[in-house]
Amino acid sequence: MRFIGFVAIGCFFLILPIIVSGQAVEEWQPFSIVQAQTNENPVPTDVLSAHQNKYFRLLDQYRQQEQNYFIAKSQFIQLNTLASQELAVKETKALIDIRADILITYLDMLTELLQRTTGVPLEYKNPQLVQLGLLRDKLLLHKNANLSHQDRLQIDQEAQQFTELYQQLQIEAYYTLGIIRIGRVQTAIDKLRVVRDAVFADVESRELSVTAQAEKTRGFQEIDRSLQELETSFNPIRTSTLNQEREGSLKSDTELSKSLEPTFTLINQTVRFLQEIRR
Amino acid sequence: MMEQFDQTLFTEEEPLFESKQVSGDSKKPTSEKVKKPPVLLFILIPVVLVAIAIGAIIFTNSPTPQNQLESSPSPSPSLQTGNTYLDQLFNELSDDIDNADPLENILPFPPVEESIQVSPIRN
Repeated sequence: MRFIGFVAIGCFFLILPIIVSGQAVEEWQPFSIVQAQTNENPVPTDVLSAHQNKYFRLLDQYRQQEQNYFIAKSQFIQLNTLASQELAVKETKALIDIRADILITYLDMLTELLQRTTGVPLEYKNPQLVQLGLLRDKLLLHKNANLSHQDRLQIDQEAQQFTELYQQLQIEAYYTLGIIRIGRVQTAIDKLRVVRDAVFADVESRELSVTAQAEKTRGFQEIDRSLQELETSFNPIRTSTLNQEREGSLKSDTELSKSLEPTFTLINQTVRFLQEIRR
Repeated sequence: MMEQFDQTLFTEEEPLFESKQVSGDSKKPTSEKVKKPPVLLFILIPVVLVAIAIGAIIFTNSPTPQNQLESSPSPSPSLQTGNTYLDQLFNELSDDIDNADPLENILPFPPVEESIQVSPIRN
């Protein structure tokens, strides 16, 4: 009997670690899953924020260098000596270099913003991303050419050629901003439709009195009318912006903002209706 | 010294070996006692194992206070889930609307000089 007792105790102590380790595995599992999830989906470094930080830092550098450039250039004009010319060339090159960096970073930010904007149709988004990439390459070429030039006349020639690129940059930048605006409004309208359907399903699932049901039905009719009105007011603006019927400039961007205001007001009103009918 | 030590060990162990031989002669009375345990052993070990396994299952599946809190019945679970989903949708919509504000100055063109050159600009 003593032998059996020893065997039983032995079995117990053999199995106990297995049970404990099993529990430990169970307890450990959620942690390991969480860990695996965090490893699989690491917190993405915000590329846009990084670009923005770089952009503002470069703008500060640009403002400081601009002062150096103006001083050197005015000295060169007043003194017209070789030394003052040399200094003017050096400061001009430095300023052009920072300007190129600013514009490249700006294009990076625009590219990132456009990529993130879901409401822009791909047939417009993808060619524009390519266009921004091409402009970036041109800017890099300009930056490298500026750095390689040592002669005053070569630098001035490069500066004159840059004027054309600058115009092109402005046009493409404002077009990109325009389609980002359109994309954002489109995203809001799309989400509005999803919310409308969800609220409708929620109201349908409730047991309401006949009067309340009729009231809700009338409410949804009004919401649907608003959504229809939204389409009517937004679609022409969307088409003209996407098809680049506006000139790419600050003025056109301001005009687009103004033209989108009624649509925006209508979106907000529809949201209020939805919140009201949900209660 | 080591050899001497080994020899002494050997001589000390020899009587023990002899005693084992002697004990082997008197095996008969103990062999009857040993025959019984295997039957009991075959019954007891599975019983103990099953008991431990059941205990382990019950122990591992027993709800912790946290689980009990989580599984407490809510008055209307489907409605609550629906409301949470709607709240989430409304929050997302609110974010999308904030982004779509036409008055927001998204990313103004950089305030940099178009013409930067060494020589004075001639119009």
